[in-house]
Amino acid sequence: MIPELITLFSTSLTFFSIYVILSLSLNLEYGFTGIPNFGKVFFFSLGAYVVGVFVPRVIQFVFNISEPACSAFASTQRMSIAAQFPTLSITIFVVSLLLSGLLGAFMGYVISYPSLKLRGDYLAISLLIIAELSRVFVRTEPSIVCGNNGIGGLPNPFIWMQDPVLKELTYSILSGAIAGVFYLYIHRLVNSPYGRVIKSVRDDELVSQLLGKDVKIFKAQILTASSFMSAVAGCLYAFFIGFVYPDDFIIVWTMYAWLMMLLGGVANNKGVILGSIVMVVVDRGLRRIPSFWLSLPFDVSYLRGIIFTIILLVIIMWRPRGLLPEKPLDTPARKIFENHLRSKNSLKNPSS
Amino acid sequence: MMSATSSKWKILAYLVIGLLIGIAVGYALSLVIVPAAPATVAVKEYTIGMIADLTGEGADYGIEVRDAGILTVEEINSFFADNKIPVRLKLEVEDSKTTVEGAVSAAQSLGGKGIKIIVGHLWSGQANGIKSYIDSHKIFTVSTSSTSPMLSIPNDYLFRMQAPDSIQGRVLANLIWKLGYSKVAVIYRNDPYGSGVYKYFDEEFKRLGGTIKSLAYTPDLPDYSSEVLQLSSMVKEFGGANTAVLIIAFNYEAIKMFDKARLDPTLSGVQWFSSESLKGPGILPPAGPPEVADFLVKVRLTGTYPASLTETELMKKFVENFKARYGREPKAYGAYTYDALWVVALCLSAAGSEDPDTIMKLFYNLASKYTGATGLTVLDVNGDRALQDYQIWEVKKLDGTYDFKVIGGWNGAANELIVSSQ
Amino acid sequence: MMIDLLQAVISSIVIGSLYALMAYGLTLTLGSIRIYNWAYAEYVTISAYVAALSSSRYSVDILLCFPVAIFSAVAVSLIVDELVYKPLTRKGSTIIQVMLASIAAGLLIRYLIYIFASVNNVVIIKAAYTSKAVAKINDLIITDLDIFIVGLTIFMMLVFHFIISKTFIGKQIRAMWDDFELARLSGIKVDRVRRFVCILVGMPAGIIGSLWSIYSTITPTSGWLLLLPAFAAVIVGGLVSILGAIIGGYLLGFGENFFMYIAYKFAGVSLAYKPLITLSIMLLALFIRADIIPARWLLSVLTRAATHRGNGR
Repeated sequence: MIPELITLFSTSLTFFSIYVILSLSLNLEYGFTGIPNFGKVFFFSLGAYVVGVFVPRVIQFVFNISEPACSAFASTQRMSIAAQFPTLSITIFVVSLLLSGLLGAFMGYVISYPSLKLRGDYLAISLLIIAELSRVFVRTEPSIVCGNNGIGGLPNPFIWMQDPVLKELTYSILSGAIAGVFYLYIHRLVNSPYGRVIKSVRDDELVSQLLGKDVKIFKAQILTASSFMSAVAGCLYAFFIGFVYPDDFIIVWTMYAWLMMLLGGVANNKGVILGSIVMVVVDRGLRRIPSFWLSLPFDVSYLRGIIFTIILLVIIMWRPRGLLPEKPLDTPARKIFENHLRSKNSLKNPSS
Repeated sequence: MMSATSSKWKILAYLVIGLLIGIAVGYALSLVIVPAAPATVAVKEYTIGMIADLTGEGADYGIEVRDAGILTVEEINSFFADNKIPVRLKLEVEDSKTTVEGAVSAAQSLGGKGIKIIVGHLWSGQANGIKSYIDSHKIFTVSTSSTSPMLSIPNDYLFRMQAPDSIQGRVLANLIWKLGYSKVAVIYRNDPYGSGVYKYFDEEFKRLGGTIKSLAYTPDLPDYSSEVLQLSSMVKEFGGANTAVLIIAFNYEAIKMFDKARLDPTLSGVQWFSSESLKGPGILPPAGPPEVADFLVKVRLTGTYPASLTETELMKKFVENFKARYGREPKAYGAYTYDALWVVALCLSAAGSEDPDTIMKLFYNLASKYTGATGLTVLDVNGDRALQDYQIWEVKKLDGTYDFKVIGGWNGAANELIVSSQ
Repeated sequence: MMIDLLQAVISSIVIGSLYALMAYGLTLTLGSIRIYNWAYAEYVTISAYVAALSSSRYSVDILLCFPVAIFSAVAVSLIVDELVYKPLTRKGSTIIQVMLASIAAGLLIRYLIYIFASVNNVVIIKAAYTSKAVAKINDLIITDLDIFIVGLTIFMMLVFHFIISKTFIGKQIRAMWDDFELARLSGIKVDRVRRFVCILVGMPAGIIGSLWSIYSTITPTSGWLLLLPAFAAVIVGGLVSILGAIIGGYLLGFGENFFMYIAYKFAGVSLAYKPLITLSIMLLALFIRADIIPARWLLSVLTRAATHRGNGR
C-alpha cells in the first residue's frame, strides 16, 4: 500500500512540476507580455528531441554499442549499462538539461522576429502550425528519433538506484526543485521594474514604444527565457517517460498549458500553480475511478473525458479570468508602501 | 449542587453497566455466529491489469480485447470455483487511447495500484514505450498484439502471444512469389506495425528475386485519393504481367482506399494481397459497402492470418461464447487475450503468488504445454510466440454472401507453404 | 501519365471543394461573431453520423438524408452558441478564451459521439450509397459523386454569397463584420443576426457531413481530421477573406493531390510528407500576409527563377 502511495505521489509531483514549468513560461509570455504562444508544444518537444538524439548516441559511442540506436535491443543495453555507471547517468542528464535549454532559448530568440510582425491571433496560429510542422517532420525523418517509431532507452539519472520507487521519488523531487527554481526566477523577474515594462508592452505596445522602450528586445528576451524553460520541461518529461516519439507532442500539450494558466489566473504565478494542481488532481484523480464501480454500458474512459471537459468548460465560463486575480507588482518599494498604509490605519484605529 | 454530582455518578454507572452487558452480548454472539472452523484455504484474488485502446482509432480492436478479457476472466473464475482452486482473477482495465503516452500512463497507473501482471493489447510502439517501466518495476506483461520484430529481446518482462511480423512478412513474400508474381507495389501504414511487416517482406521478396515499389501512407488523414493514385501509377510503371499489390493497413483506412481503387481500372486488374489486419468484420458487408466487397472479390484479395492450422476446440467454443454474450464475432485479438489470460491464471494457481520472476519461469513452461484457442503457445527465447501458423485466406462470394475463405496455410513448424487450388 | 495527372486534378477539385466549403463556414463565424470555432468539426461529425445512420440503418433514401443531417448540424450549432459562445461573448471574454472554450466544447461533443458510437456499435460507418462512374474517358474516371460534390458545394457557396451580399440580413452581417460595436449602436439586433449566422454556418457543416459519409468512412474523429486543412484554408484567406478561404481550400486540395503527384513523379518525394506540404502552404501564406516575406520580393524571386534572369545578366 505504501509503495503505491509513494508512486502515486512521485508521478503526480513529476507531472505537476512539468506542467508548472510549462504554464509558468506561458504565463510569462502571454500573461505578462501579451504574446499568445499557441505553439508551446514545439518548444517543449525540442527539449525531448534533444534527449532522444543526444543521449542514446553518447552512450552508444562511449560504450561501443554497435546495434542501431533505434532497436529495442540497443535500448535495453543502454538501460543496463547506465544502471552500472551512476556518474555517467547523472552527467548525461545534466548535460541534456543544459543542451535542451540552450536549443529552446535559441529557437525562442529566432521566433521572436516573426512574432513582432504578426498580430495576436495570426501569431497564435503561426506558432501552432510550426508546432504541427515540426511534429510531422520529425515523424517522417528517421534520423532524428527513429521516425514514428520513437526511441527508448533513455536512462533516468537515478537508474542506478535499486528500488524503483525510490528512483521515481528522487526524480520527482528533483523535478519539483527545478520547477521551484524557475518559479523563484520568474517571481523576481516579474516583480521588478523589468516586470513593469513587459506589462506595459502587454497593455499597450504603442505607448510603451513612445515612452522609449525597445519592444523588440523585451519580447526577444522573454521568448528566449520562456522557451529555455519549456525545453527544460521537455527534457524532464523525456527522462521520466524514458521514451521519445513525435506523435506524443500534439496540440493537447499547448492546450493543457493554456488551460492551467487560464484556470489559475492570468498573470498570477501563484494562480498558475493552482491551475497546475487542479490539472494534476483532476487528471490523476480521474484515472483512479475503478472501471467496475459503475456498471455503465460504455467505457469509463469516456466518462472521465466528459467530466474533464465539463469541469474545464465550467471554469472557463464562470471564471474566465482564472481563479486568482492579477496582483500588483510585489517589489520592495511596494512592501514599504503597504507597511506605511498599515501603520497609518493602525494609528487611526487604536482599539483592536 | 447535590443533585448534579449524584446525577453525574448515575450516568457513569449506567455507562459502565451498559458496557459490561454489551461485551457479554457481543461475546456470546461471536460464539454463535462465527463458523466452527475455517473449512478451506482462503481464496486469493489477483488483480490483473489490462491495457487496451478503448478510445482513439484503435478502439475497435481494444474494445474487443477488453470484452474478450471480461468473458475469459468470468470463465476462469467459474472454472476455478467449480474445481475448488483458491484463485480468482479480477480485471482492471485502463485505456491507452491509441497513443504511446496513453499506454505509458496506463502502465504507470496500474503499477501504481500495485498490479504485478498486465495483459495488454499493445501495438508495437506502445509496447516499446512501456518497456522501461515494466522492466524496472518488474511487471510481468503479456501483449496479445505487438508484433514488431524490434521487440524481440530475451530476459525482459515483456512476452508476446503473437509472433513477430518478421514471420508474417516472410510468409507474405513466399505466398506472393509462389503464386507467380515477381513485381509488387506495396502500400503500407507508416507506423511500427506497417513498417515492421514491410521490412521483412521486402528482404524476403528481394531474396527470392522479386522487385518492389513501395508507398508509406500517413495514418489519420481524411483523404487518400493521392495515395491510391500513386499506387495505380506504380502498377502502371511496372507494366503488365506478374504484378500484384500488397496492402498493409488497418481496415478503417483500407475501406477508403478500396473505395477509390475500385474505380481505377489499373488497380482493378491486378491481384491484391493483405496482412492479417484486414481479416475481420470491418470491411465486408454489412459494415462495408457491397461495391467494395465486389472489388475485393474481383481482385481476389488474399492474405495471411495468424491462426492454428487445425481449428481448435477451444477456438470454436471461444467464438461461440463471445457471440452469445456480445452479439458479434470476435476478431483476431480476442482469442490471443483468451489464451494469454488462461496461461496467466494457470501460472498463478501453480505459483501461489504474483512474484514476477516465478511467473516468468512458469509462463515459459506452461505456455509450451498449453494448446489454446490459437494453437500451441510455445514461446521462443525472447518470450515471443515461436511457432506460428498462418492461414491463407481469400475473399470470396458464395451464395450471395461475402466471406474470408481459407485457401491454404503456412506451417510454422515446417516453414512450409501450402496453397490449395485457386 | 497524362491520365493520372488529370485524375489528380479531379481529386484536387473534389477535395478542394469540400475544404473550401468548410473554410467558408469557419471564416464566416470568425468574421462576423469573432469566434474561432473549433467545435465546427463536431458539427460535421454529428451530421455525418446522422446521414450515415439514416441511410444505412433506417434505409432512408440518400437524398432525403441531407436535410435531416443539415437540420442536426444547425441544431447543434445553435445549441453550442447559446450555451457556450454567447454567454462568453457577453462577459467580454477575449478571443483566445473563447477559442479554448470552443476546443473544450468540441472535445466534449466528441466524447459523447464516442459513447454513442461504441454503445450502438457504429464506431465505423458509411452511408449506404456508393458512387458510380459516370464519365470514362480512356482511363479517366469521373463519378457521379464527384460531380455532385463539386456542384453542390459551389452552388451553396453561391447561395451564401447571394445571401450575404444581396439580402438585408446579409447587410447586417457585413456590418457586424466590419465593426461590431458600431453595428450594435446603429440598431442592428445583434443577437438575432448572430442566431442567423449560426444557422447559416450550420448548413455547410451538414452538407459536408452528408457528403463525407458517402465519400469516405465516418468515425468519431472524422470532423476533426477535416478541420486542420479547413483552418489552413482559412489562414490562406488571411482569416478575414471568404474568397481567400475558398481559394485556400482549392489550393490545399491541389497541394495534396496534384502537387504531390508531380512531386512523386519528378522528384520521388514520399507521400508520407503530404501533411508537410499542407502546413508549409499555410505558413508561407501567413508569412506573406504578415509581410515577413514581402510579397513583392517573393514575386521577383519567382519571376527571376522562371525566366532565368539574374542581376543584370
